[in-house]
Amino acid sequence: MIFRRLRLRNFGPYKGEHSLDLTTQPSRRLIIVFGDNMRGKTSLLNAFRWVLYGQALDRRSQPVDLIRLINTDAQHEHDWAISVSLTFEHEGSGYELLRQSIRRPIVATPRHSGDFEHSLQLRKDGAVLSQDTIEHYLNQMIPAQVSRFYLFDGELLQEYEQLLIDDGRQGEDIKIAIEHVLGVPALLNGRDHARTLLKQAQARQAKDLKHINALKSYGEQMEALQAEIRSHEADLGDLRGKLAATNSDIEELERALLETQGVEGDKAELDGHRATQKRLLDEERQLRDERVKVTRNAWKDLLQPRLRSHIRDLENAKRAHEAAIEQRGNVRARVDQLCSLLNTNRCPLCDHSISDGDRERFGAQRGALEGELHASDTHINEVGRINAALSRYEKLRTSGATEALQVNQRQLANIAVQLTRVESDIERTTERIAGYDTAEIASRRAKSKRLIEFRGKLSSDLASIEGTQRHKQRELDALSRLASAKTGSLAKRSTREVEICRALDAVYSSAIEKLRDELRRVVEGEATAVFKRLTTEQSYLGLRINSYYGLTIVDSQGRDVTVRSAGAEQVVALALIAALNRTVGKPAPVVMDTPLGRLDPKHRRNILRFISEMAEQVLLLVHEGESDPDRDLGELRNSVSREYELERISSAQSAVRPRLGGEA
Amino acid sequence: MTETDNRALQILLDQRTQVGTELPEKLIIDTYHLERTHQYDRDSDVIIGALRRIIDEHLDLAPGDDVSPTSRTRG
Repeated sequence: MIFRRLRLRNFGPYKGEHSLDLTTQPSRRLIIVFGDNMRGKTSLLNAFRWVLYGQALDRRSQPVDLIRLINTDAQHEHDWAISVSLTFEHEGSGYELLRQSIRRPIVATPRHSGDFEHSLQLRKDGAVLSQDTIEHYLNQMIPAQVSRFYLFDGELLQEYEQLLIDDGRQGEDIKIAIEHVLGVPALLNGRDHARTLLKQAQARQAKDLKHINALKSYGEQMEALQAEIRSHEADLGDLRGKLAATNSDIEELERALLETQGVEGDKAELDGHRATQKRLLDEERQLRDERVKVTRNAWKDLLQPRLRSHIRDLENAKRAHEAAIEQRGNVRARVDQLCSLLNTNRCPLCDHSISDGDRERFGAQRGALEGELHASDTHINEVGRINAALSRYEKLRTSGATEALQVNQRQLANIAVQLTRVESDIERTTERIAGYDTAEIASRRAKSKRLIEFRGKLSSDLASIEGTQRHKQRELDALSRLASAKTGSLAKRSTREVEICRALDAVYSSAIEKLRDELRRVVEGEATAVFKRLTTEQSYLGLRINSYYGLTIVDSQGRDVTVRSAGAEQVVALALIAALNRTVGKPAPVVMDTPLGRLDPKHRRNILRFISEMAEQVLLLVHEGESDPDRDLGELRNSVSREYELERISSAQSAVRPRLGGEA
Repeated sequence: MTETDNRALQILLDQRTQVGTELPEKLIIDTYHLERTHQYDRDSDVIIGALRRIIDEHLDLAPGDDVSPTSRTRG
């Protein structure tokens, strides 16, 4: 297959009619289209996908809605016709494939694909082919299942990394696509078709056996088993249908959720801010309550200056009373001495008798001192009174209301700042999710979770019934073999048919794994050869393939290189694609969008040198950041048939201009 | 037929010995060509019908061998 011309109308940024001459010479296989970001390189890749398979893909490999494909300016001018036509040659015949979608007459402004009339036409050597053969023709030339290896986005090459994960679901999908391109389905289908025919032949055999008296019971048992198997098949069909529908619902929900992932994050953030706001408001309320309580005792603090002075006076008085009480002991001793003197009437020092005059004087002294002693009882009472007063005042001094109020005030101020901040966060987050129905998004998330649980249950039921089904099928096969051995010349035809179908099933089943092993070996060898040309690390031994066709780099010591850069991944992915193309041996053009973006200059040079060998015709869609026309393409000049440039007309429009090789 | 197709066919032919069947080479070749040509087509019923016809052609019954009411006439 060789492309000759691509015509676009209102496709992506290409408003009105645009045309690219894609003819190449055998010695000059390359066509290069230069275009800055947003100028329509991916739209060109999608134009090929859309015309061939009716589907354009976004950067997440998800289908792009038809409305989004139609040029925005054309939409504003109510020009709702989109079309792509691809002219190509295949095995000596000329073909023209035309796909177009035009707004239905009764629709004013289309909203979805159903608002368009779609048509697809394939001409072979000028003759229009019937609609029901178009898919078969395209499948013979460039089947949709293998298109990822011919029409690919360089930015998505890292998806091949998934092949290194043995039980990854995405890896499984890619593995199936790889086996499609390698021709494994021919054997898989052959096995399945042989099994279907085997069941039919066994049904006929059972029917025949029922007419032979000696083998009637075999026929009846076989029919009973077949009825059970049919019943299980119906259940399995039902379960598989439900599983497929559930998977489709989950994928659709996940796709929608992926688009609103940011909103979900913002909603979670908003909920967090609201929770913080509630906590802060609660804390603020508590602090205000505490402040009221503290304020009830604050009057005590107002008394403090006067109270302090009064206490000081009391403490001075107390000290004076205590000093007086201390003197009481001396007075008591003097009183006792005078009492003794007066009782004995003699001087304790010289033992002379005391005169009446002295006795009178001493008696007066004793009276005075006893008066003092009596008076000192008042000091004791005073100290007790002062202590009681000081104790009362102490309670007034320990309120701490002022300090508590100051701390409370600081905390309230701090909370006020935090509240302002969180209110601002809430406002900003609310603005971000404005216009989105967050309740609906949450409901979708919950539904997705429920569906995933349901899928698990369906898978489990399916596995259980499949197990029973295999068991019943084995019983039927055993019975059929036994009956076959006994039929002799009777029911020979149906028995022979069973034997042929069984043998075909066995041959195809056995061949599948052999072919897979063989293909993996060949792909590994081819990929290693390409990889060694592309890599700048010459010490690597090559690549090792796993059961999923995932490729691991092997270093000079024969060890796996487990960590590899984005650039290395791209090189390995290109080696895989080149190896698949070489192994298949079915020439189809390769269209690559931004294949050099992750590569350093040396790898880029290696790949550019190699790229024209990847296929009979290679269309490169590049921006000048990844490939400079003067620097990188100098040595490729001899391989390039045509160069185009995507020119900006407006933010919504681009045009294709030829740089080399004639009109666009 | 590409090199890969030839490889797949050869593996199929080799498997006859592996699984112990004496299926004729032509039957294997015919069925493989059919499956290879239609491996990307979705209409299984049409392919199964064609496969059934190939098998019918290879059913080698002597006249009168079969007493069953469901037997068909060859050709």
